[in-house]
Amino acid sequence: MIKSRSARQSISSDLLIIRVSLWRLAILNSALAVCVTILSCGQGQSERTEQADKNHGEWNRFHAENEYKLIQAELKLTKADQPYMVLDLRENKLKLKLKGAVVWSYPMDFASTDSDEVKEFMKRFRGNEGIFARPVADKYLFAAEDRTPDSVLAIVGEAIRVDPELLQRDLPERFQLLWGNGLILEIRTDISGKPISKLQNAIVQIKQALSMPFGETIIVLKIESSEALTLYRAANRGMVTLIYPPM
Amino acid sequence: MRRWILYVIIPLVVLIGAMVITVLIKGRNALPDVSAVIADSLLTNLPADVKRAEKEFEKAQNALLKLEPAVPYIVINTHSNKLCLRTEDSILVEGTCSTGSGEELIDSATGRHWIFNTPRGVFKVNSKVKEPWWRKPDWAFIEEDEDIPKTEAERLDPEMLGEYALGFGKGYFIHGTIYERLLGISVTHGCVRLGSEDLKVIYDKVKIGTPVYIF
Repeated sequence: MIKSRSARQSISSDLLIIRVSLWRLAILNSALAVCVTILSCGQGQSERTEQADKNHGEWNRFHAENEYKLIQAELKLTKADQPYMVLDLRENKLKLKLKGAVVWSYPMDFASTDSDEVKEFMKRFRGNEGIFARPVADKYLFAAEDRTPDSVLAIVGEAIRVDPELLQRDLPERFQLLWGNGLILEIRTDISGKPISKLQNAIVQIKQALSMPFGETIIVLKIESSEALTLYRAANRGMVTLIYPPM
Repeated sequence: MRRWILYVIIPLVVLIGAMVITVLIKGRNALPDVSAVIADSLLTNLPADVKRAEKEFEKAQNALLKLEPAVPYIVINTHSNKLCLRTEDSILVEGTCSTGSGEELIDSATGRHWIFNTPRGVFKVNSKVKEPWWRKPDWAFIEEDEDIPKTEAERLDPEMLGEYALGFGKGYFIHGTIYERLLGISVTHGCVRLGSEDLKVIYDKVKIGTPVYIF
């Protein structure tokens, strides 16, 4: 009786071990399945790049077609009176262009990201379809500092009969430009301003942290505050952004 | 046996879940709503014939290159109130300016109204004037609650525009100011005010025909 009980105990402990290992197997299988599916997302891009590389050598139609489309798109943009943005990886500069001329530029000296993240950003920007133009979908200001003291603006406003609020320019401390598809360019400056809304900032950050596993790429660019002011004010929702080179 | 089914079903459910997420991600990757202005250029292809394609490519490239100014050009940045003389790659001269306030003025007597914006776009320097006199327009009197003068002489002000003025069309000028302390703030009626030192440098370096880009 004692024997059989110990035998039963041993069998049940064996079963427990088997059950545990089966659960592990199931978890492992699931993890593998997730990895395979997620990896398949990026397959289209690598296939396309391989195809492009194979064709390298003679007059490369694939590259020429893309470059041609980019030029055509830019030519269209030069007809408008509004500037457009260029992420120029040939010269490593972020530019604002108006009618084909550079009106503002800043070196892209990425601060807290290594080049792999920048590459990932560019890959994501182009997507599987090789897109080289995306409109700015949104911008979000985290913190800013008043450029001119309110007391000065009050005097000026009274003298020229203008609402001082209209004269103020926020010097951004930190803001983000978003293009959708998980593409975020974060601009940071050297000033320490006041948060625009602590609650809103927290919500935005949590939302972005939650989206991260589904492919959000944030690259950080450090810019002088006065230059950041230009970018912040000029880069409005809908501003078309081109990427050089197109592929 | 049932347990085995469970071990198969769990990975399957996870797999389906992962596939749904993938579809969602791919949905996010869908072509962006690129401005209608350039949407058709994304569909423009080169001709099938290589020689024709090369020619077409070169033509497009040259059209874009032509738009780059061949001489140093003026850029007026209304966002940060900066004016610079620059080339494609470098800034030659830069100064703080003042641009339009964006305010609106309505003449209650006649209903006429003005919006004091600096125009955006591309212009050319079309006049260079030393010791310019300002011919005060009607709004200058309406703004000050003064009567509009009947004679031209009453409209003229020899001080307000500083020592130099560069006209760039439609009555707009880059000129000096007696209110240098306000440089950097958008307070003007549309003209671009510049400090006297920067103005002299710009005036000396710039020729008639120099492009002026305002954004």
